Amino acid sequence: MYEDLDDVGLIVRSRHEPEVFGVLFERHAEAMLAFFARRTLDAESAAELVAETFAEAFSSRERFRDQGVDGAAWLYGIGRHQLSRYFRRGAVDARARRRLGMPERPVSEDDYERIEELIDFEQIGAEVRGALSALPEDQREAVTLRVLDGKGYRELAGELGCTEPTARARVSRGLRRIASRLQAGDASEPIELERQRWKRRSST
Amino acid sequence: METAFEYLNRVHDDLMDAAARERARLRAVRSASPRRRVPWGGLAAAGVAVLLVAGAIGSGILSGSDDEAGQEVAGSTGATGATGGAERLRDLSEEPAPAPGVVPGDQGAAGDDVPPPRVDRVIRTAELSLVIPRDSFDERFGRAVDAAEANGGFVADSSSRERAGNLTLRVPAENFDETLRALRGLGTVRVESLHGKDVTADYVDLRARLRIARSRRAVLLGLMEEARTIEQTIRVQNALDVTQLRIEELQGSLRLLDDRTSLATIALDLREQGVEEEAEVDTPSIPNAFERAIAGAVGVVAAIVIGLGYLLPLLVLGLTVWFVVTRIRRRRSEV
Repeated sequence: MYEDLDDVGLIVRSRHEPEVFGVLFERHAEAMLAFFARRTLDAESAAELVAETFAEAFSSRERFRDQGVDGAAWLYGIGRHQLSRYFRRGAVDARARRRLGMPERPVSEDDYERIEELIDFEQIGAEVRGALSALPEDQREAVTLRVLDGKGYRELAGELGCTEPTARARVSRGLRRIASRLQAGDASEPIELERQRWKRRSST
Repeated sequence: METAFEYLNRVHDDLMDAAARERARLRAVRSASPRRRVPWGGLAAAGVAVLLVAGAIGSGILSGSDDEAGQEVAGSTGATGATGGAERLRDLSEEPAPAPGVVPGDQGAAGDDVPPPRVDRVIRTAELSLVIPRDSFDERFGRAVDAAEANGGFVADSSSRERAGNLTLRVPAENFDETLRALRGLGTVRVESLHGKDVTADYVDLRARLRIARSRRAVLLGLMEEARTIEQTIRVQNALDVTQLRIEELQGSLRLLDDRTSLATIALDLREQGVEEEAEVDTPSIPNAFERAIAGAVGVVAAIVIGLGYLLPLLVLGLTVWFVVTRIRRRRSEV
């Protein structure tokens, strides 16, 4: 029913019909998840950033001004702001979700794997390799096994001699450090490129 | 939402829940205020402020006009303004002096002691307030009496208190200006007002009615001589009595007018320097209070109405600006 509306139309419409915002979420949530995953290299943070970004956008939809700006660009602008806060503070903000009464959801193991697939470690492997040397020993080992050798967490836990959550935490912390270093070097890409990449990936 | 990510599905649901709550809130706001919530408090405060400003402006204008009116009054009664009034009176007095004489055809009535007719009849009065040097009241008071008597006049009334007093002088109309001139020299003129009331028309009218009454009396006297019966005599006598009474009334009125016009009245107030004018004691009374209250209320309303008239263009301008700004804001928010 609202699929014919462009992003701007959806945002404007959602002011009086808040449910319309759900269409915007359906349209951009997965692409944004990939966007955050590639930048944070952390599935949990990426998922939370998506939730927080949409919560913030929903709260701010009254302030949106149609001044020729693409609705998606406005959305990703909020996302970038959240991302920079995340890198600054080392944690994803949850204020917008709390304001709206949205709970902080855990990321399931299946989702964890799927989100990491979005990161496309093969492509960023070279960059990650260079940043690995700066990591502590346990994190470097965990990241190397997960990212460079492509091993699953169960296998990873066996090799590291720890539990699966611990293995996931080490990989997560290590990747977050690498992501911060990569972000410092500005690994940001144009939004359109990101979206195209997502579309290409979805079609295959 | 169709996605492989369970997390996104949950966030989608959470977002929809939030949207549902938002919709409920919006609906509650709309139903609570089907029409836009009117800030009555603010509007009342603004209204009161406008009325206060209007009242201030109106009272300012009213007092301004009162001042102007006061200046006009002062101009006519004050020393400066008295010149105009005096000149006006002087014009009247400088007309050919009313030569005492008898109206043609009225000579036969000279025996009725009818005041001599004058060309014009003007009742002249003056109020003069003088400030005299200290310790000179008695001397100036005496000089004022002398000035009146020297001009053929007399003191009709007088009262004095410590270092101040009032005199009512009657002087022949033809010596009015001369007497005033002499009185002005007694001290510093504080207030001077001159009044002249032309009663020539009344005088002529009274004389005409007197002439008719006399003719009627002459006829009745002739009838009296011809009366043969007691009844006829009594009827004529009654008519004669009424006519005679009427003649006497008219003569009295004419004498009064003659007295008022031939003798001018000067109310003189003498006060030594430093003596305060007697304050008029305003005895409060309930009817007086009601009158003043009503007058005050009417005055306030009048002031507000006048002030609103001045504010109206500003209010219209302000409302126009407010309307335009509101429209622009609403249009922007709709976009």
